[in-house]
Amino acid sequence: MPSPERQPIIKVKNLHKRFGPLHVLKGIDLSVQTGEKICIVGPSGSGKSTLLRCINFLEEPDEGMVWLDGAPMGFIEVPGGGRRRATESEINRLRASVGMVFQSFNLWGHMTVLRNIIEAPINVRGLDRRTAEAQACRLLERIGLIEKRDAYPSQLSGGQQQRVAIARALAMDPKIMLFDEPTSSLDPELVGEVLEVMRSLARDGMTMLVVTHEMGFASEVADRVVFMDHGAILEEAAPAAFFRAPQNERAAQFLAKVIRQRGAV
Amino acid sequence: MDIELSMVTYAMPILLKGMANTILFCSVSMVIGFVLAVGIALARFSRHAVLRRSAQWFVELIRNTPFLVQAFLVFFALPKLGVRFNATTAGILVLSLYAAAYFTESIRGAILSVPKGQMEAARAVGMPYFRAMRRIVFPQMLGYLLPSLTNQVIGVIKESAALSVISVPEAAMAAQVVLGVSFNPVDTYIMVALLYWLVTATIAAVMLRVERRVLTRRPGKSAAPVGASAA
Repeated sequence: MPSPERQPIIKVKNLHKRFGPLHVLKGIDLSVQTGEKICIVGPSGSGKSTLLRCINFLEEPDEGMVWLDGAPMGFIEVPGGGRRRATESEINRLRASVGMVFQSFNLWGHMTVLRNIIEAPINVRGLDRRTAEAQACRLLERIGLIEKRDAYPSQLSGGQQQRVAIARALAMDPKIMLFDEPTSSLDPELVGEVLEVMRSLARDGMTMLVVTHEMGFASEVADRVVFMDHGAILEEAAPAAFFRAPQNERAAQFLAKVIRQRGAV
Repeated sequence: MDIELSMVTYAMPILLKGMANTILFCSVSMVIGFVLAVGIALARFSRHAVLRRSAQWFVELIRNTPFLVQAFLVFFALPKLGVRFNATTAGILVLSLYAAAYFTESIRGAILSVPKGQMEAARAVGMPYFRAMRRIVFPQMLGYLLPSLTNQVIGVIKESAALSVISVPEAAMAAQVVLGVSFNPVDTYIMVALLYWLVTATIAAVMLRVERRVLTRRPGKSAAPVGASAA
């Protein structure tokens, strides 16, 4: 159990999100400590991605709050119980410390690999170009794509694009990395190279929140597995316990189904 | 039917002067209209419903009424409200609004043509909204924007002929001046049509070259895929 004076780096309290009549998140509570790796699993449509997108305020929660390292994200609580929207610059300042990796990579198509990586450090952090490029090259070495620095995203495989997208997020020196189904749109033979980069990131102690269907990765890397269904967290457990004997009935059904389709964890 | 030479030598300078004015008035209106359109198109995507609705309302208003009627309204109604312009100013004003509405739709369509994830990735690294628009979305929408903008530019130039009804001294008005002296409508309007065609065809050709340059400058998704047609 973490000592009470240690402030969680991510704290989510009673988060609700609705899309029209659809109640996508129904009161999510979650705490993440620095360096923790959390894998969020669950059937599609359970609200996993929406939760991730609320954490960096790409989606605006209807109720509840998110704190990043103690700072409220997106809203400022006003005395008397209400809240108002935070300023754009405050939201942007917090976002800059949270890296996000998308299912569909979202590399900027009009920019080379190198330009993709240095864009935000230069235009958001205010780094000079030389420093940003040196850092980008180190990241490209790390993900094994230095020879692709001048290629455009459309010239790369999906796996390569996703590795560059991870490097792009890391270039901002984030305190937290959010992964939104990072391997779901990849051909099966390209999944491994992306997971390998994520593993090495985990070994370096990065705080990671990963929405994934890769149960092998979750059982190997996660400190905690969070099972979501129908907009609620139904189970939170260490991976060994979760995968061996899930307590929640729907979690057990979900795992059985996944194992039937993909083989054992 | 043949066009008399004396007629041409008499009419052409007047018509050319008129066409020069058409080009001038249209250029000014389209620059104003484009600047307005960028703002109005961005308002269409605003978080604030008031901005979104107002922008949409403006576009609908202009698109769903004839330009001729708009020109009359601005020319006759505004003086009644105490605002006085000469015909040319009124003409440029109404043409600017007309261009703004149509350009807005082009820009809006072009913004929508850029996948949403491009903007989200920029927002996720903390890039401010307008900077993300300028650095990430705008450069990628050009391939989509230019063809539709070409159509709108040509549309504005052709529509500007209606400004002759409020006596703006442009090309169609010049034709009426010529007709007042020598009544030869067929020859006169053939010359006017040729002049319009020259201007619009030139613009279309120039824009096509610009489009090609934009699309081949980089191996983006709108250009021919790299290594395709190797066989």
